[in-house]
Amino acid sequence: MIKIENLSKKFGKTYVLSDVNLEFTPGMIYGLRGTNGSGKTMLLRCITGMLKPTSGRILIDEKELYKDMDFPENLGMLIENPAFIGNFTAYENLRILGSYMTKNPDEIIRKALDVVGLDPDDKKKYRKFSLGMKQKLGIAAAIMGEPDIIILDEPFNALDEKSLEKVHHEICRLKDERIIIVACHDKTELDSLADKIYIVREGRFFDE
Amino acid sequence: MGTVLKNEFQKLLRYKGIYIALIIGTLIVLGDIYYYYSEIYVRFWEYYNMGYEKNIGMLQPPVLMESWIGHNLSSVYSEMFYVLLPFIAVLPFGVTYYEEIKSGYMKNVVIRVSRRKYVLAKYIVTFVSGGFVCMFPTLLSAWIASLYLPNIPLNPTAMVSNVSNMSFLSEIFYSKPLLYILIYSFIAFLFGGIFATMSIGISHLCDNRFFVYFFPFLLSICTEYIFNSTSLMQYTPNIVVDPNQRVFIEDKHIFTTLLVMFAISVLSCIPQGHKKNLV
Repeated sequence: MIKIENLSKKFGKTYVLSDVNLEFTPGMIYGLRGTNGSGKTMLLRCITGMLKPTSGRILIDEKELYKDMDFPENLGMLIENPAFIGNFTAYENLRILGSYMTKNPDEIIRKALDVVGLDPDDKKKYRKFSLGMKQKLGIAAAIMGEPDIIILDEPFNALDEKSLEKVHHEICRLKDERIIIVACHDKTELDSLADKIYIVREGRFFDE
Repeated sequence: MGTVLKNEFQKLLRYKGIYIALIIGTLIVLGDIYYYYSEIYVRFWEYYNMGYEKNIGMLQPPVLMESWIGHNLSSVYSEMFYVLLPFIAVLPFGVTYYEEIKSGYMKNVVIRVSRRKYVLAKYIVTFVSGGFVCMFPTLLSAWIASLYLPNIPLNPTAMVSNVSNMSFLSEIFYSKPLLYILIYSFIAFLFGGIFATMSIGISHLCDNRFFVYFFPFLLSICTEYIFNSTSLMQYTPNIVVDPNQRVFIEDKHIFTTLLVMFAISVLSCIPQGHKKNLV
C-alpha cells in the first residue's frame, strides 16, 4: 500500500503540491486527471523516488520513502518521455534493464514487447523509432517483469487503437495484487480504465 | 556489480566515441611516423651516403626511441597528441553519464539497481576506456617504429633528449628504452583514465554536452597556463604525462600530480552516487 501524508512540494515560493493525502491500495487502477501543470507528474515523481518532497511523507508498505529507502522496491514506471539507448534495439534496451531484475530476462522481455506490439527480433535501433514505438517501448519497460507498483504518466499519447486496446487489456490483467497509477488528461481514456479517479487542480487532489 | 559493469562495457563497445578516439590517435601516430621517416630517417641516410660516414659517430643514428611519439622531439604530432590527450580520453565514454541524466534514461536504471553501483560502474568503464585510447597510440607508435628501427638506447652524449641523468626514469631511458616506453604508456593510461572520469564529476554541474566533452581539456590547458607562471610548473598534468620531459621532472612530481588528480576525480564523482533529485 502507498500512503501519502501531508505531502507538499514547492519550487521557490510556488507550491506545486499542497498538503496531499492519498492512499493507493493493491488491486486497483488509480487515475489522475488534470490539466497540464496541475501537479500530476510532480506527485508521480515524488512517489517514484525521483523528487524529494518539501514536507510530508510517503509510506510504501510501512517503509518511508527517502528515509528507509531511496526508491520503491519492484517499481515499473514511465514518466514523461521514454528514454533509452539510441544505438540499441528494443530487445537490447530491455535486456539491459531486465538483467538487473533477473539473470535470464529473455522471457519477460519477449512477453512485455508482445503486449505492446513490438517485435523482439526487430533489428531497428531505438533512435530510428517513431514516437509511437518509443512510447510502446516505454510501456514495455514499465510492465516488464510485472512489478508490484506500476506508474504510467500519459502513456497513451502516441499509441494506435490496436495497441491501446492491448495495453488496456494488459493493465487490467495486471491490477490484481498490484498498484497501478495512470496519469492522463483524457477523460474518456481514464474512465474506461481506472477504478478510482482523482482530479488534480493546482497541486490539490480531489475525488471525482 | 558484475551485471552493471558488463552492461556498461556493452554500451561502450556500441558507442562510436571509442572508435573515433582510436582513429584520431592512429592518424596522429601515422603523421608522426611519416614525419620522422621523411624528415629524419631518410635525411640521415642521405648524409651518410653523401660521405659524412667519417663523422657518423658524432650523430645519433635513427633508433626506435627517437621515432616514438613520446620522444619525437621535433615533431608537431607528438606535441599535438599530449595536448589533445584529455580530449581524446573523454571521447569513448566520458559524456554518456551526462547524456543518461539529461535524457532521463538514468531513471530507468536507478529504480532497478543501486545508484552507487551504477556510478561506480560508469567510473570504472570511463576510466578504462579513456586510459586505453590514450595508451593505444603510444604502443602503436612504438610497434610501427620497431618494424624498421633498432631498439638501441640513445647515446647520452649525442644530446638528442631532454632527459638528464637526474630526470625521472633516466637510468631506464638510457639503458632499457622499451621499458621506458611501456612505463610512460602506462602513465598515459592513468592520466587518460583520470581525465576521462573528470567528465562524470562535471555532469551534474553544467547543462551543456560540449562543455562536458571539453572540460578536461580546458582544465588541462588552464592548469598549464596558471602553473607555468608559478613554481608549480612541474606539477602540470600536460608536462608530467609527456615522456619528453620538457622540464626537469622527478618521481615526486609524477606521483603527486597523479594522486591529486585522482583524488579530485574520485571526490567529484562521490556526490553522484548519493541520493539527489533526478528531475
